[in-house]
Amino acid sequence: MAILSAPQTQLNRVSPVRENHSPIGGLGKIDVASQQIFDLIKRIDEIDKNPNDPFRAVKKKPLAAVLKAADAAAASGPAPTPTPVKLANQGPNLHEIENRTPIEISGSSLKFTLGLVRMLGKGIKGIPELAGKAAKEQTLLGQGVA
Amino acid sequence: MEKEKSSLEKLEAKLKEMWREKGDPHIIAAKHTEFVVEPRVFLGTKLNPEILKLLVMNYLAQSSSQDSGVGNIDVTPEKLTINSPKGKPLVVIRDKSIIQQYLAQRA
Repeated sequence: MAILSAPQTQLNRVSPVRENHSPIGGLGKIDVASQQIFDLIKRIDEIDKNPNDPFRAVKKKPLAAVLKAADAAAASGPAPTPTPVKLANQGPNLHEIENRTPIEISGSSLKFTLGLVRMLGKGIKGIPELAGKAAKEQTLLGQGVA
Repeated sequence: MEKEKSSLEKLEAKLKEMWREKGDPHIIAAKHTEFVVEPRVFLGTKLNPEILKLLVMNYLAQSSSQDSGVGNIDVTPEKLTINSPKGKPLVVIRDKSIIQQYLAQRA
């Protein structure tokens, strides 16, 4: 699925899961995105095999509901064409990502970006303040003060 | 002891929260759990275009009720420009749906 493609996305867990850093043998060097996917599949497999896994108690939605929604979606139209998974080194580059959304900005520095977030984020609680603080921190870091 | 987050990290968390509320979060449903694929907020020193789009739409939605928004936005059917308080163009939008939404809101 394209939604797993890097570098513009990252996989985050909704619910707590124990960390599993077991090495995957025989595959040689793999990138971080691949490692995350392998860890995820391995962890899901563990949960499936263990009925007493504490993670089952905090699951967000029962499997039956998920399957029902999937069935409903399938019944409402033709199945979508599957998109191959893109890993980190095959993902779109920054230029491609920028061209997807026709919004151009007139600066590229972090300070400019933070100023922009501060201005555009007006009305959203916490964002202008944090953007202002972050910009100050970056300025201090640039001066070698912090 | 957990290290205190920097303002930049807190800002990233806040922007992700905004994206979860107003964006289009992708959820992967596994057998016993669900995972959310979140956007990376900053790509190098730039904003992820998806986050930028949400912020722009938020700004435009609020501009009619914000005194600071008056005169800071130039719009034609092809292009919408958000200027800084000093009049310098900061953001140029050519997305027709955003422009039409803004024009409809102003009408």
